[in-house]
Amino acid sequence: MGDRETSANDGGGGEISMSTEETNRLRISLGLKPLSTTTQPSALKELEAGQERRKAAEDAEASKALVARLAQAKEKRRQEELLKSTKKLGETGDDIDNDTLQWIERSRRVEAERKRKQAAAKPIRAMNDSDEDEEEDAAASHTGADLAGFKVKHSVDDLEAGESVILTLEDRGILDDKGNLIDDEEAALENILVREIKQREKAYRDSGKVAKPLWEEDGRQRTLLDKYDEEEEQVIQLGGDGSVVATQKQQLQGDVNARLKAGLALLEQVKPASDYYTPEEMEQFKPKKTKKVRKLKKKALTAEELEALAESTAAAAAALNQVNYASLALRNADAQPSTADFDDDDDDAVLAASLQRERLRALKEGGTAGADPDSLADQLRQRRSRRPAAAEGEGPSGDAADQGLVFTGIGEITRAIQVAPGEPAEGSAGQGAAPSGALERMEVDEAPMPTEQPPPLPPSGEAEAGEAEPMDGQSQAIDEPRESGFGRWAPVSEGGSAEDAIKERIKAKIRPPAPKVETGKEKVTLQRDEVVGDRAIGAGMAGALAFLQSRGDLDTAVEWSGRTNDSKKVNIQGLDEVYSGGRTEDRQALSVENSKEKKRRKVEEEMARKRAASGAVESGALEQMKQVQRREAQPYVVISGTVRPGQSRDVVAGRGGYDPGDPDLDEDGVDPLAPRLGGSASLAPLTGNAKVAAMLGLAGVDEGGRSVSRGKRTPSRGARGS
Amino acid sequence: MIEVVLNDRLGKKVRVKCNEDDTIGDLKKLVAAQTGTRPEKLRIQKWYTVYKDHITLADYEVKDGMNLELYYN
Repeated sequence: MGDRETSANDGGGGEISMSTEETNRLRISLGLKPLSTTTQPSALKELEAGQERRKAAEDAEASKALVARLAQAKEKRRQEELLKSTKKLGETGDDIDNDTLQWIERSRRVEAERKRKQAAAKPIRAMNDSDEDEEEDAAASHTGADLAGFKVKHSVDDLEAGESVILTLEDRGILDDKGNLIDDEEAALENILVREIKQREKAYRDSGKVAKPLWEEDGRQRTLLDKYDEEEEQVIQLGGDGSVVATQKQQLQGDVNARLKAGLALLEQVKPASDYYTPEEMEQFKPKKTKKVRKLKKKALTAEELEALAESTAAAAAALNQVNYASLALRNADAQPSTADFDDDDDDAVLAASLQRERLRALKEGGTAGADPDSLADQLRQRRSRRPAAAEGEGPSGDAADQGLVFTGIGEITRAIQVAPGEPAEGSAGQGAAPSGALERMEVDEAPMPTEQPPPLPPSGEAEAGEAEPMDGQSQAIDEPRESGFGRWAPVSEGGSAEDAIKERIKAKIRPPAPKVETGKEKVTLQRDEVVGDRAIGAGMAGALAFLQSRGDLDTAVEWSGRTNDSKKVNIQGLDEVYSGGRTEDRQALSVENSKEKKRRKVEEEMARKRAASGAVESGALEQMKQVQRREAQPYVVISGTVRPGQSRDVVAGRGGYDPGDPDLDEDGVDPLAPRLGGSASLAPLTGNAKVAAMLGLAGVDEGGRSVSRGKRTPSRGARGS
Repeated sequence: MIEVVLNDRLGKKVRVKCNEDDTIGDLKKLVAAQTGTRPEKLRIQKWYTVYKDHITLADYEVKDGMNLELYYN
């Protein structure tokens, strides 16, 4: 650079440059230190060297590119030639047969050539040759022995015995993971359908819709992510003659399974004790019933006796009578000690026993079973009279003190019953009605049975006061043939309709007529009306109705709702004239209000009645005030005078002309046509004279200041005076 | 001593000899003396990097033969 001689300004090529000396001079004039000369040559050299190297590289690249292009062109030419040699679609060559004959010849030729080749290559060829043609040829000559050594990709469980399965070669890729070709020696057979089924099952299991147990049968424990574990392949090896060579592992598996099954069977034999008692063990807790065979025996006995009696002749009757008496005695003797047990037994059994006795007696007497009510009554009377004799004679109880007294369950109950109201001297007076009612009911339900109390009640009853007097009454009732009494047939024609007769009978039973007690006891009359206590409510509809009747609820007329009222006069509108008669013209003038009034009154009456029936009536000043408030929709009540809406107080004093009987006002005293002061709501409020007029109830205020009295008010006002 | 080439795209190309430890301001003075402009009117850039006056060429790593751009304020 120091060689160059350039002027300060333009150098060669429009370049401005200065020499070193000039530059130094310039620098000194500027106040800078002069240029240092050391570094310059090396830098330049480096620069030039770099440039040269670049050039060389470029040249080299250029030459390389040229070479590459040449090679490319050559390749292209070669490809073109190749393309030309291949056949196009439209062209026909030597191997295309246009004629059938040609084709036949051709195929024969090809076949012959192939056979020739086969024959030549057969001894050399190996079994697992990859050549497809040769394999196909060999397929015909395959035997079972050829399958020896093949692997089948299913476990023994998948394939059933005796089942013929088509196995195909397993699909596999050509390369393995590392990119090497897979050896064909490891080909395996499989059944496609089974494989697909297994895949589906595996997918379903892995999807998590089936709960997996933690421990499998073979003792393998499952972890959470076991579906990602690699599954071991279940492979069978085929033997030479088609048998299955089980692997050692499978054998072990089989052993384990067998052992497990045996263990389970053992377990089942030993049943663990359950938490609950078995039915057999429950038996021990049941209370053991000691059956009383006595009754059965009795019944059997009596049945036998009956038979005997039925067949007996009159001659044997006496003997039979004796027997009967004896049995009676026996029975009574038995009855004594067993009375204590009677409480435990059913009343039905007792009833049956007594019925049996009666039947026997009837048979003994030899008469026809009382078809005639009168004869029945006679018989009963006789029986009654006979009983004390029999009792005295036989000594049924064998105990003088107990004469005529048999303690039975019912007897004990009824002993406690007192006939209450008329006789406070009696012990428990209060119980009178209910138990007697119960007793009466019992009588109604059950068959007419004579009481268990043996007949000598009247005489022995004297000894104990209050001894079952209702029983007494009933027995008396039975003795005397009442006209209408229970246990008697009342002829239908007797005294009016059957209903009445029945009712009479029931009433008579409820209120039994005063029995004539020979012992001279006081009359006991149960008067229904005096009963104060609770009456037993019967069952069913009858009981309910009776209850309501007693309360008096059935007396009130029921206001039914619904369609049943459609035809009633009350609800038919506008037919007042029809029903009441009269000319329509006369009615029409007042008809509107009259019908409205009537309807309103009727409605109010009904409401009042309903309220009274429901018991929610509060008639009083307070209630009326509330009603008025409800009606007026105001929180206050105007006690006197009229307050229109918009007013704070009555303006009777100011009104002067207010007439309570004004026909323009409706019943409540409110003008429906003037809700606002002196006008309708739509009009502006009144001011000035008009307001005064409105307030005073006048038609207007004259110019002279005199008021014009109001006539009939019209709905629409004229011009307002302002 | 290095030689820097400054190119103004309007046809002016200036070769300036200077030291590595000269500042840009000194370079501008030299350029101005050669081109006839005033040094404060010059702006030396290297592709959007405006070189500041108080920093030396060595710090900017301006080597010998480097091309810089010359602009006018």
